[in-house]
Amino acid sequence: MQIRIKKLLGLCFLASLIILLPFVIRYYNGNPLFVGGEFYYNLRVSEDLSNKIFWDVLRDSHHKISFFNYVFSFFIMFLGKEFFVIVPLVLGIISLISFFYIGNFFLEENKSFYSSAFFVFSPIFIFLFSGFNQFTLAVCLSLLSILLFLKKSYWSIPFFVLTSITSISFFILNIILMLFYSFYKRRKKLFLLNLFFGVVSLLIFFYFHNLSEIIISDFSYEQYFTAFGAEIGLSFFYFLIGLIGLFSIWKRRRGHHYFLMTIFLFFILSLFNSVAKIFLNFFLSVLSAIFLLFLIKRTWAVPNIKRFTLLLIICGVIFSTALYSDQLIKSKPGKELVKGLVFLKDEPTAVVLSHEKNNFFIEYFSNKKTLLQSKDSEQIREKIFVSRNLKETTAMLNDKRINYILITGEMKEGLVWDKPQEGLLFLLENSKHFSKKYHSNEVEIWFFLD
Amino acid sequence: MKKSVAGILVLTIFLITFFSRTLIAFQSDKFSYEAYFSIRQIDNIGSEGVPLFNDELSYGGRTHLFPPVFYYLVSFFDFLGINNASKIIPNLLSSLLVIVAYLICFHITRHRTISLFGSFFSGFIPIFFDTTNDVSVYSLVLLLTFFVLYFLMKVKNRLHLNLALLFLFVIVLSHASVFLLIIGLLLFLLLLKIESLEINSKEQEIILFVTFFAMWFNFIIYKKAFLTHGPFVIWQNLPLQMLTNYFFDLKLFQSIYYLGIIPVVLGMYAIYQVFFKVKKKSVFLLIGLFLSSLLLLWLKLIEFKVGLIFLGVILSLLSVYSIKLIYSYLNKTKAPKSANWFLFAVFVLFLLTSVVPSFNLAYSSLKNIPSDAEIEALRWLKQNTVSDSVVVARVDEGYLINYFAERKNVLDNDFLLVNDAQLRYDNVQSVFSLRLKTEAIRKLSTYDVDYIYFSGNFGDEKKLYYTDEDCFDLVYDEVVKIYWLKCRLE
Repeated sequence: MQIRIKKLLGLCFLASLIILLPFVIRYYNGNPLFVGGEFYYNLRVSEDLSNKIFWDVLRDSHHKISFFNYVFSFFIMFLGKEFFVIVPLVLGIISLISFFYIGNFFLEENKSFYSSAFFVFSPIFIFLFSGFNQFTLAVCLSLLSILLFLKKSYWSIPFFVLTSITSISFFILNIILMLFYSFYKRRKKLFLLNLFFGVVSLLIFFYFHNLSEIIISDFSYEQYFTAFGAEIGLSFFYFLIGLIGLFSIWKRRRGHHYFLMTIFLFFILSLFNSVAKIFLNFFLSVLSAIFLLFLIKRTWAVPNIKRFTLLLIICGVIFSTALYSDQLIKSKPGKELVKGLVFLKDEPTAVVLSHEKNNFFIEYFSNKKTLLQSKDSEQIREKIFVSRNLKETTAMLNDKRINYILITGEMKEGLVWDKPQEGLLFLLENSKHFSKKYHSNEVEIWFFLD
Repeated sequence: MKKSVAGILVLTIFLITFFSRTLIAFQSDKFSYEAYFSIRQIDNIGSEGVPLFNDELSYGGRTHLFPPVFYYLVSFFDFLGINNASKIIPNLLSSLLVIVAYLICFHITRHRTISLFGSFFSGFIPIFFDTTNDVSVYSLVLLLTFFVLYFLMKVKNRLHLNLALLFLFVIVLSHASVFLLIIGLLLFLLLLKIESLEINSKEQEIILFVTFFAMWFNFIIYKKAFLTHGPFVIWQNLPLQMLTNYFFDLKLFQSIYYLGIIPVVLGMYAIYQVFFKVKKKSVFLLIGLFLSSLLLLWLKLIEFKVGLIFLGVILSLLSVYSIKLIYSYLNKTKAPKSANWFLFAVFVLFLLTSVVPSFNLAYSSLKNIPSDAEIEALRWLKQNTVSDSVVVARVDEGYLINYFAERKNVLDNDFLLVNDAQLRYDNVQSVFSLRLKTEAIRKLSTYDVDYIYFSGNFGDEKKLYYTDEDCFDLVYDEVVKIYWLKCRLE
C-alpha cells in the first residue's frame, strides 16, 4: 500500500511539472498564461454568466453554454484570473489518480503505473490540463464516473450527470464504455440508472441552452496526429508503440475480447470525433505500458539492443511531450498581440477585421466585434485581403462596417500574404483611406477612414 | 586460391575501379547539375562549420532538411581542395564497394575465384559507373548498406554484430534512403517466416530496433516537412510531372543495358534457384533488398537511377551464386575443364556487355555537365547584377544559379518545405514555352524575377518567343541568353 502511495505521489509530482511547465515559461516570457482562442471565448462567456448575461453582444446571439461555463464562472469569481491555473492542475491530478485506479481494476499494479506514466506524457494530457476547456472538466468527471461505476457505487450517477451536461460526446462515449462493461459483467441496473439520469439531465439542460458541440467531423490526418499539426491529436510515436503493444497481446486475445473490441470501436470513432481520440489515448497508454513491460521482461539475445530500445522509447516519449509543449508555449496569444488588443479596447465601438484565428482574442481583449465566421464572411475576408483595388476593398469594408484592421506578423509571413505590398498590404501603405493607429514588432492596427 | 592472392586481386580490382572512375571524373573540372547542391553544402561547412540549412538563395530564401553526415565526411578532406575532395571521396566510396562485394560473395559461395567475379561485377555496373561526377550521398549509403548486409550475414560473431549496429547507426544518420535497407530487412524476415527457415533472434532484434530508430530519427529531422506536407512528404513534395517522368522513358532493354546482361540473367537465375530449389538464408537477405528496391521504385519513392543502382549491385552479387552453381555442376560432369572455360566466357561476356557500356555511359555523362559557356554566363551574372537579384532558369539549372552566379533562383530540385511547389514548377516551365508576353510577365512578376537565364539545354524551345525590346533587355547574348525584365505586372 505504501509503495502504491509513493508511486502515485511520484506520478502526481511528474504530472504537476508537465502541466505547470508551459505556464511557467509563458509567464517568464511575459505572455498570457493560457493559450487558444477557445479559452478566451469561454472566459468571456463565463464572465458574462457571472453577471447573469446570456446574450452575446459581440456576436448578436445567445451564448453557447454548457455546464463547463458555469464551473468556469464559479472558479473565476473565487480564484480570479491570476490563480486560476490551480484549477486545471487539480483536475489533472484528479484525472490521473482516477485513471490509475481504473487501471488497477483491469491490470496489475505495475502495468497500471506505467500506463498512467504514459498518460501523463501524452500530448492529449498536456492539451487537456495545460489549458482549460470543456474537455478538461469533462475528462475529469468522466473518469470519476467510470471509476465509481466500476466500484458499483451509486455516486457514479451524479458525476455521470455532470459529464453529460458538460459534453455530449463524452456522454455518448461513456455510455458506450459502460454498456460494453455492463454486458460483459452482466450488471445492467447501475448502467440503466446512469443512462436514465444522464439522458434526462441532458435534455433538461439543453432545453435551456444552445447545443454547440460538433459531434461528427470529417476525417483529416492533419487533425489526427500532433505531428501533423492537430491541436487535439495523438502522438504518432504513441500510436506506433500502442499498435505494437496490441500485437503483443493479440496471441492472448481470448481473455481480452472486451478490451480489443473497445479499442477497435474507439479507433473508428476517433477518426470522426475528437473526444474519441481522448479515450483512444487512454487505451494507447495502456498498450504502450504493456509493450514496455514486455520489452523489459523479455530475454534478449543482444543485451545492448535492449538498453538502446528502452532508451529509444523513453526518448521518443519525452520528445513527443517536449515538441507538443513547445508548440503550446509558442501558441497565441503573445504579449505583443495582447498589448495591441488592449490598445484597441480604448477605441470607440467598432468591427475589427483580422484573420479568423484572432477573432476570439479580439473579442476578449479589446471587446470589439469581429467579422463573424460564415461561408459568406470567409469569402469576403479573402477578397479584402487579396484585393489591390481600392474601390472594391473600401466598398466591402463599408458593407461590413469594418473600422479597424488588425495585422499580425504571422499573417504577413504566409498565413495570409507571402510578400510585402501584397493585396491589402499595398492599399494600407499607399492609400489615404487607412491610417496606422498602432504599431509594434508583431502587430499593426489600421483605422479605416470611411 | 590462397587468401593472400585473393586479397591482392581484390585490391587490384579496387584500384582499377577507383582509378578508372577518378580518371573519368577528372576529364572535366565540373560536376553534374545536381552535384552543385552538395558542393555548396561542403563549401559552407568548410567556411562556416555547418551546412547551409537556412539558404537565402534557393527559392529566394528557404530551409533545407537533410542529415549532413555525408557532407561533413567530404568536407573533412577539403585540404585537398573542395573540387578535388568532391571528385575523389565519392568515387573512393563507390570503389570500396568492390571489397564488401567480395566479402559477401565469399560468404555465400566459399569460393575465392568466383567471389572475385562478384567483386569485379560490382565495380562495373554501367548505371553506377555513370555517377563519376555526381557528388552523391548514395556513394556512402550504398557502401554502408552492403557492409550492414555482410555483418548481418555473420551476426553470430560478436564483432560483426557490433559493427552491424555501428554501421546501421551511421546509415540512419546519413540519409532517409535507409528505409530501402530497412524494408529489405523486414522483407527478409518475412521470407524466412514463409520459407520456415530459422530466424536468428539477434538478427530479429537488430532489424526491429533499427526500424524503430530510423522512424523516430527521420520523424525528428523531417517533422517540419510532415507538418507542411503531411504523409505525402515521402514523395518529397515532387511535382506530379517529375514523379510521372520517373518511368516515362523506361524501356526493358535499356534497363538491362544499364544493369548489365550478365548480372541480370544470372541474378534472376539465382533468385529462381533460391526460391524453388535450395533455400539459402544469406541469399534471402539479398533478395529482401532486391524486393525492397523494386517496391520503392514501383511506388516512386526513390529516384529511378538510384533504384537501378541498388538493383544492379544486388544482381551482381546474386549472379555469383548462379556462377557457383553452374561451375559446381560443370565440375561434376565428364568435362570438368569446361567449368573454367565457363568462367572465362562469363568474364569475356561481362567485359563486352558491362565494362564497355560502363565506360561509354561514364564518358557520355561528361556531356551532362554544365558547359564552359554556361559557367561563363553564370559568372557574368555574378559580376554584373545586384546581389539580391532573382534569376529564373529551368529546374535542373537552379543549383547552378546559386553556386556560380550566387543569385536567388525561383526553382530547383529540392521541393521539401516549398508550399507551392506544383504551382511554381508549372509556372517556371511555362515561362520558357509561352508565346504571350503579358502572361509571361505576369508569371515572372509573381516571383519578382529580374533575369531570365536561357541556355536551351533543357526543354524543346530554341528561343523565348515573347522577349521584345519593350520589356526585355538582352543583356548577355552568347550561347546562353540572359534577359533583364524591365516591365512588371502589378
